[in-house]
Amino acid sequence: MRTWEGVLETLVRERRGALVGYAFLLAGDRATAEDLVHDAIIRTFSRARRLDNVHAAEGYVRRAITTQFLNGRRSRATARAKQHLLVERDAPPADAATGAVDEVTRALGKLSGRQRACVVLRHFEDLSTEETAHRLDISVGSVKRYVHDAMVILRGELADLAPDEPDETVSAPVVAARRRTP
Amino acid sequence: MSRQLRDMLGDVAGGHQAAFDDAHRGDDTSLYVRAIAPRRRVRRAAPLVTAAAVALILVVGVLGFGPQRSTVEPAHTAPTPSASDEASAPERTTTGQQPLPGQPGWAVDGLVLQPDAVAAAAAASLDGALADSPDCALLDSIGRLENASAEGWVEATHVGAFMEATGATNDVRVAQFDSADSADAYVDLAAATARGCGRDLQATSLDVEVSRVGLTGVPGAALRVIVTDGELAADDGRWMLWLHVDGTDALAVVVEPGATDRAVAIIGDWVREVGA
Repeated sequence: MRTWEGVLETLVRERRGALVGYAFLLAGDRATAEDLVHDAIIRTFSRARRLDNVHAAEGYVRRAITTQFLNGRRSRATARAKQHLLVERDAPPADAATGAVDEVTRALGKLSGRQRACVVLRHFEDLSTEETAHRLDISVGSVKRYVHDAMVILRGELADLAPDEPDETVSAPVVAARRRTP
Repeated sequence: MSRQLRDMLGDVAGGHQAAFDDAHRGDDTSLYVRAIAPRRRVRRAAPLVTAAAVALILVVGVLGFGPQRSTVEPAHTAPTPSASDEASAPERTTTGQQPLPGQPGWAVDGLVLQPDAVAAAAAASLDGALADSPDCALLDSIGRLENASAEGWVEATHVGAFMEATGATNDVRVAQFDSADSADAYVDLAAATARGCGRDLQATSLDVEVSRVGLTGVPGAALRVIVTDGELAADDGRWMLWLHVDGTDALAVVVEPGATDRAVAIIGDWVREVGA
């Protein structure tokens, strides 16, 4: 077995579900999420690059998922309009959304594609603002704006979500007590 | 709040991860390997194809402009394939060991494959009305073997293009579907889309012809879509898409306006040598 095949086997067996979960946060429905993962795995492994560890391969696949999600929104909409001409799905995949999870899923659905991508990369993938900007090939300012706008929407939708925290906390110097004038 | 949001997102992703894992306990790695292995082979060959093309250009340059210049004849005259419902794919005229289709130096009708050459969108050469019709606009992506269904998912590999002296190309892509049914459904989609395109163009100078074509001596069948612009002359006003399917294997050739239609020779060569 070639090296890439071994890595592929491990990735498909152990990490594909997690990748579908990640893709769902971006796409908002299971069918599209599964398509994104399938597409990204084949894209990643089809390139003749050296792939000798699962961790690196998963990183490439996650990047491909994000890129495909952002680039493919229009073409998928067109393709879906033609879906009735193509092979029928046996049944729609069962979405796992129930209760609170359902509420979060609906709230995410109110966000634009870029807002979702920024929120997922910042708050789920734990990337910094700079890393998120680099990953999405947009400016740091744009990331901050997308995240800010997204948080306004999410707070409106999710009553339990606590108020915003500052991105950065700066310690204010203690000023010596001033003498009061009588 | 960051932590709270992270937990919420984690719950959503975790729920779908668990649901997916429950539904997919079988090992379907072999499906991925079948889809990926041919693409890796083509991609590995791509730099060699480029090197061979560059070497050929250098040789032609030396012959054409060197001090001992003599009359240079083309390797052989390009045959014009038949456009009937039963087209005849010419046999490989092998003189010595010729490179296989997709391999470095693959030549059809004396033109060598250029891996980096790509056909432009049909609307770039023909009437802009093509871009205004969603069905017509979709023909370009079908020529790239995109927009397959979720179950019949496919990613096409761009093999390259045969470029004429005019710069117009016969652009070649290949793909493998999950099943023959999915491949056939994709051909049906292409045909329906082309017919829809034709309806959208009724009030314009453009005309769309859709036909199924069998290639003599070549397994499988092809769909041929011809978009012609009556206001332009012959080849300059004709865009063609050939979509050949044999079982799960698909091959698309887009013939740009201004290019000779070499699709039958390309498909015949590919299917006989690679698809066999």
